[in-house]
Amino acid sequence: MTTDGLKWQMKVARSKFLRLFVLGYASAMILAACNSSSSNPATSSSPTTSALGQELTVGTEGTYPPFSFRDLKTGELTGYDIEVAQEVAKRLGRPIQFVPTQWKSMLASLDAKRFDFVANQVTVTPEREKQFAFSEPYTVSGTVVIVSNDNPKKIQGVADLKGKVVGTTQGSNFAEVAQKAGAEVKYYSGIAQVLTDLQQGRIDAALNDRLYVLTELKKSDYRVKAVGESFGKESTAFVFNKDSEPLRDEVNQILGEITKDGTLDGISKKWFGQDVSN
Amino acid sequence: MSVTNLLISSLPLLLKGALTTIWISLLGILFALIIGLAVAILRLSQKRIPGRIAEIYVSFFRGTPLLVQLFIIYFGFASIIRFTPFQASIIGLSLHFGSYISESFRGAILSISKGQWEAAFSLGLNPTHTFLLVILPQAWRRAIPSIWNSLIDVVKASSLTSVVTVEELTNIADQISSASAVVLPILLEAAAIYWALTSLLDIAQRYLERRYRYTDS
Repeated sequence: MTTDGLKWQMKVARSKFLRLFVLGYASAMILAACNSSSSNPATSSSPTTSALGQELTVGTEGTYPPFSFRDLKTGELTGYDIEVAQEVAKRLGRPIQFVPTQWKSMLASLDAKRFDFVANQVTVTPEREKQFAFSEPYTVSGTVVIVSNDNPKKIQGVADLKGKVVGTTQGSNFAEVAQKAGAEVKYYSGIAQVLTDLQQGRIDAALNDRLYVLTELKKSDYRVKAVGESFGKESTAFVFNKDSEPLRDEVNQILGEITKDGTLDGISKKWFGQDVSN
Repeated sequence: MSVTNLLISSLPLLLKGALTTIWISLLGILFALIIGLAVAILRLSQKRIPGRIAEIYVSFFRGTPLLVQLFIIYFGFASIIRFTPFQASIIGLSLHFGSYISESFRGAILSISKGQWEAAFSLGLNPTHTFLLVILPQAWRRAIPSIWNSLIDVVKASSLTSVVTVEELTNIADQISSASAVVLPILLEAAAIYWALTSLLDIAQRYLERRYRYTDS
């Protein structure tokens, strides 16, 4: 560009016109920040102690049947974890709002206090306990190895995973189990993608929760099966931000109540046909 | 449930997600265009400081993944400003694609010959009027095809906002395919909806190109 051209454009930049644009954009953003409140159920709550009637916000995947998924007939979220959380909210006297969140941003959201707690089969681990506050467990399960029906690598259990390609969901604790077993881990956004790739032979095996395998795998058309015994007894519980321990204690009290009066057992039998809560 | 039934019964849910996708895309497009033009002018102004800031802005937002930017805006800023998922998505999309669009505008403005400026000045127009009435209309016409690439990208990239818990089309499709264990047909259904949405942008592009086409020789 010639110096003449540059000079003209310098003048342009100094003009009011540009300032108008910057100002316009700034005010538009501020307006947007003030107005748009749709699709953000989690913002109004600052998770401290539970106040009667104040909305309880709960993070959940909504893509993990039978624990947390969308009922395609009603369009509502449902599942074992959802129903336990709903029962807890009912007894706290607070309305409940679920926030469907991908697993990879679930704990980050909890950390940023985007919701009060997580109801999503979160396994209690020492690492997570350092960062977060767990409730009493409401599920006890284990991990199983899943292979395709023809099982070309002849995998019979977790001991056979060494050197094999194992699929798991992003950020799940199954990834750690697979690594410990010496497997090469491939990450997927959801269990549906894992199982699809498994039956297409791109991965040798998958790891998942025994309860998931008990219920969902049977219902679906995936040409996959579980092999070996389940291993690594695991407890899952609601997860809270460390700052929300008072709320956690209230929830624990209610979990104790619904265990004693058989409500939890009822929800468990409804979804799994057996008591999975201890 | 047969796959056909599932595709039909899942349509209302998917369309609800599509509505969110449309809102995010429209607002993202609007702000990306505004940012793009403002940044292009800043960079062309040759003012040392604002020009440099604009350059760094383009370099960062064009040079890092939108996914990471969304995480930073939604989680990273949470302790300072708590954007709602919807706000964080619009800010992320408009800043990300504003950087591309600013380059489209800049290239188009630079492509207008110096003679146009000189002719306008000789007619007594001041620099602001010259830019608004003579240069920008010509540049806009040249910028349309490359800007539209970015606008279509905004619609598709809005699928990433599910990581900051927005329940848009892809997120809903994920939920349906997990609940039903039917993956590919549902994804194809979602893809068809995306295609329909971006086709509307195609139509708008054709209309604009016709409207602003050169009529002189």
